[in-house]
Amino acid sequence: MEGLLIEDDRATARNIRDALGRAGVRMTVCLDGKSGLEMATDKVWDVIILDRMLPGGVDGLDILKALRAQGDSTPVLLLSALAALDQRVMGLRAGGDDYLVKPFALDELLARVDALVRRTARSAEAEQLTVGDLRLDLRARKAHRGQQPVLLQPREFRLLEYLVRNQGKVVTRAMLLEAVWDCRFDPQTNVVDARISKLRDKVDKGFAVALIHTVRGIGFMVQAGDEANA
Amino acid sequence: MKPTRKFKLRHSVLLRLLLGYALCVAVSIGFAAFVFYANTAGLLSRDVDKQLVVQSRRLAEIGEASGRDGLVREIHALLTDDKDVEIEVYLLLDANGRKLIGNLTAWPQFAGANSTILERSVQRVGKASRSRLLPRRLSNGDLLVVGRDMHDLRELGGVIRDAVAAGVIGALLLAMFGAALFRWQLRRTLSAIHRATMEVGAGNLRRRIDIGDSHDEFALISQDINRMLDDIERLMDVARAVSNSIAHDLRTPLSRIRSSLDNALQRDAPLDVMRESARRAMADIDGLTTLFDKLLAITEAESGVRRQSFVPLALAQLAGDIADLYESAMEASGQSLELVVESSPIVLGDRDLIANMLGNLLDNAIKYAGSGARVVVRIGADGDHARLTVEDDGVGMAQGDIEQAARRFFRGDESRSQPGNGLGLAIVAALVALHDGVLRIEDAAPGLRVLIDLPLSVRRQPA
Repeated sequence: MEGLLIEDDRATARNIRDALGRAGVRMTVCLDGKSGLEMATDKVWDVIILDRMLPGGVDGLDILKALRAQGDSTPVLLLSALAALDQRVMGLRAGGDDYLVKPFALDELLARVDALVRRTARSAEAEQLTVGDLRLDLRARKAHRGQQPVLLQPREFRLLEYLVRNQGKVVTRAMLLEAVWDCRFDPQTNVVDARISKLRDKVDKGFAVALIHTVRGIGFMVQAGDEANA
Repeated sequence: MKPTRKFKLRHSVLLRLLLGYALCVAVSIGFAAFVFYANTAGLLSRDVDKQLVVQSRRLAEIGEASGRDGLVREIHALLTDDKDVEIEVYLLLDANGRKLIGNLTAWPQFAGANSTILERSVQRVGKASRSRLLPRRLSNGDLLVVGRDMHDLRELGGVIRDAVAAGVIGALLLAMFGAALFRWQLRRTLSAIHRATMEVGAGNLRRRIDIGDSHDEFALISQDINRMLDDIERLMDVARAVSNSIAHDLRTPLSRIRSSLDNALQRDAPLDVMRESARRAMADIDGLTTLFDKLLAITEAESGVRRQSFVPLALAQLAGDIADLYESAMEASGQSLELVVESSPIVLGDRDLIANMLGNLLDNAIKYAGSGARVVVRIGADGDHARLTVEDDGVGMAQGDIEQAARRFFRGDESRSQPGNGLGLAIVAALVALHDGVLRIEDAAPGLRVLIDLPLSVRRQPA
């Protein structure tokens, strides 16, 4: 996979490039807005990571708007030191697919890039999602493990659905908060973990193979196999 | 003391006021005087002309009827009747210019002048006089001059002018006196304000302007300034407390990070020690980031910029989302969470911020209410406000602490040993203020009750 990183801080750019490189995304780094704009439109990328504030007269939002104006729908993740929520809204409104505030954990970035790349690759809405012997019926909003029904509250179903849609990938707490509870703040207590542990009681308890795994320090992952820590 | 800008008379607002005021007074009095003069002296002299014409015509008719002798007799009678002796002027000349009768001893030439009123200097019985004169050529060639000495009218005009001048000067003096009085009072009030603000500027933040019992405009402004000074003093106190707390809250994790990294860099440090040290350093850095985020969130909320993104929100639904999110965590810490929806108010606000508000209160309950606490989130309406209540029956807070609780970095003595940074309630307070709401914290005996009143988006009609 090929990605473009437009980021003016060399150290940050190197860290991101190395981290994504280890995850199998080859990143081309560009250090200013002007050449960034050229490179972004020059070639078809799988993902573009864009810093909001760039030197050279062209900032991240300009590049994003230019891309979208050309009908280019490459997934774009915006990076910014501007934490203010309306900055976030502005970024997403300009056509960004996700927004991450500096400083961020590299794992959070990886998880989000992963989700972005797959989001666009995903085919038309499926009616059923499966992982291992877990089956989610998206129409009826019902879940089964093997033949046994799993009784879930609507919100638990949404949580499980999001995890299953991203199966095999790490999903961070912040991603879950946004996707399932529409929350963009950082709870000071381990609310997400508690919610997951309850879900786990319903989905995994009494089954030989656990599907919901905790990835230490990052988030959670749903996977049929046992190689969760890979 | 800083040097102050020197007061100069020409910069004085009072001088400008006074000059403008005096000009207004002078112009209005001048106008009144003009109107008065035109209606008195002016009227009189127009009246004089009319009388001259009437008298001249009457005498001419007498001359036609009774001849020159009759006219001479009539004029003689007029001159000796003791009426208007001071002012009357009569003169009858024959065709050669010789005087037949009259009370003039010297007169100008009347050649060509006929039936037009002139104002000329004449000698009336040996006395110089300025008179209005109406010459008329009679049919027998004689020249009849009827006139009136104008000195009394001029005197009247002079009296009016003097009176007007005295009036103008008096008014100007009064205006000046009034202005001086006004200025004295203004200076006294302003210098009280000036002294107070200078003292505050020099560092005495407790100084206030002495208002006394007055209720005038200056008292209102002084009150405003005093209120502003209250705010400034409070903000300075907060800033001082905040910098102290930040210094403390930054120093601790920074020194931990430093020692972690120090540890990792020790010679012969095994890989797992290095990893663990790096992990600990990162956790501390994340903690610092969270601290900064919170401080920024407070600053952002207090600056009020987010109001533009306010939309009508169903408070009960939002509370439902957050309660759902927190329920499991509360159960895990041996607490219970109940959501009671008494009504479904719509408030004007920012979803993320109100979620943050409620999340912070529930975080606090998890952290401080203690195991076994029952937490109730209640959504209701009270008059024109939506009311969000978070109540627990946990350990509560000391009364003194309740009053301090919403201050930045405040932490009750009992909670100092627990993790946290004392910003939760300060964020809640800032967010409530941003939404024009009211935050109250009460002792629920036992436990703590936090009430948040938020204005309704659309005022509901009474049923």
